[in-house]
Amino acid sequence: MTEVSSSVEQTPATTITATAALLREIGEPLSLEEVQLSEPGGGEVRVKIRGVGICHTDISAAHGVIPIPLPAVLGHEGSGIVEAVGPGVEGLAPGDHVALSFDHCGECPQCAGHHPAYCELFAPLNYFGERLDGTVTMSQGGEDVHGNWFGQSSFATYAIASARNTVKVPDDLPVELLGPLGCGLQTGAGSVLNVLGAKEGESIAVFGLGGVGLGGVMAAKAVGCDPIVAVDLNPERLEIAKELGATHTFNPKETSDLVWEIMDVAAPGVHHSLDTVGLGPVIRQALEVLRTPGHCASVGFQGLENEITIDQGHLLVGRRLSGVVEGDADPQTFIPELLRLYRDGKFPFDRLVKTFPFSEINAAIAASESGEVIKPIVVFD
Amino acid sequence: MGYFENAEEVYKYVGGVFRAARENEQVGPKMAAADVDLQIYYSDPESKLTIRMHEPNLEVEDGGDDPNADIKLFMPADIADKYWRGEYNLAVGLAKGQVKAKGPVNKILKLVPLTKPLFPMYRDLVSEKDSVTA
Repeated sequence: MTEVSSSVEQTPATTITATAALLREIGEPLSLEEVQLSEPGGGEVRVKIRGVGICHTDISAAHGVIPIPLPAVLGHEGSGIVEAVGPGVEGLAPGDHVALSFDHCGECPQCAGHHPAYCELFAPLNYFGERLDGTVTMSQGGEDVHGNWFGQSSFATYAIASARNTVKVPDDLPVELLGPLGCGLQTGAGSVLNVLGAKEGESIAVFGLGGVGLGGVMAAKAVGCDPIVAVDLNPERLEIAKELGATHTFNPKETSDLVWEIMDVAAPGVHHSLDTVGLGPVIRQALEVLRTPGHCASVGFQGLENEITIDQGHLLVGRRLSGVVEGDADPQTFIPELLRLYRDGKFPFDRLVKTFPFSEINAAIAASESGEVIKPIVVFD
Repeated sequence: MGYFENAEEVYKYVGGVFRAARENEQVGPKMAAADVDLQIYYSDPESKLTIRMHEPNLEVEDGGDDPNADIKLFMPADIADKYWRGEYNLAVGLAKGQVKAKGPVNKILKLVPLTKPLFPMYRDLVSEKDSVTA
């Protein structure tokens, strides 16, 4: 675990210019522009970004669903190489290969209890693009650029990241591909392993087969779940789910009674279910396919206000419905765990990836939105 | 004893900065476009403001109490003072429970960046009081 103290001397002052993909207006394409980076502050590091995944949360912010101040730099599945460390950073040094995850305070009861995804300060640390004291990590000609999205803003050639969310990774792995382990893949796999606690021989149904849902399918396969039911409207996604370990797949457009058919696969219902969509009818189905007792984890994000209706009768007799952020994972321990599974061939996340050059970041976002690519990763020279 | 001596001072300075927002060409139209009624209840001293943001108007009612407002905020008046000086992170205050909210807070958080240009204006407003109390 990276620790922060106040005994290390600050890196000498230098002005670093980065190329960043700026969000200047909600709903508009990102614009590649030069920005100036601040020096890494206490507990911060400067990372030369090598790759960054496109995540649904970035797209939600670009559409105005999350109130980040503009101009801003999005990107929160970054990975790269540490170039400089700020005062008080221990356990990280220039040259380290790292994956970046979400920020957290490290001090509140949830952080102390190893649930940093539920940090008291999760929202102000991750969603508003500035440090808690209101300062920013990027600027352009004297104008503030909100470059602290998820403690990284990695849609840029360089990022100032919090040491807390900077996870050292082995040098022999393709660092440019590791960023999505810090959010999307962590969310799906963490929900299955940390929240649902799925075990060998138990049944699970996964609704929605993007990077998060397929991360859940891979994690379920890795621990020996059987059967593994995968649900999506996209036939290509159902095919790759089979290749990654799903034993049964369903396209809701081709079934007259989805809940009945899933329960028939694992009568009297599945032990676990994972909703990665966030729409009311899907959450309801994910709850209704459970056996008793069973546990449904809902991670799909459809906006900060998202009213749904469920039948309380399905919650009785011991069924649970949990909302989950970031797979309830501690990135400092969970990303290395996922990398061990990757090395063992049990978490082949690279099969979901298509890379795009930084100059084509808007095409990468479009490919994610259209569903053409499961996990676009923008790579840097 | 908080920074403000009485409700009238809250209305003069905090209400004043909302009225200044209305007159500001950069900020006023964007706040008016929020299309929400905001009700703020302050403690120490007890006071309240209703801010109605609907294009093309931004109305400020000193002492207003609209039970049907879209969003209600509850906070000590000292927090309002610190916020408008640019010394208080509202998102942190909400997270820590120092500021309590009812309603779609997301809509208010979207307005926070717009208020930054008003911070110098507020500091000018209170500078006379600061010089007396210093």
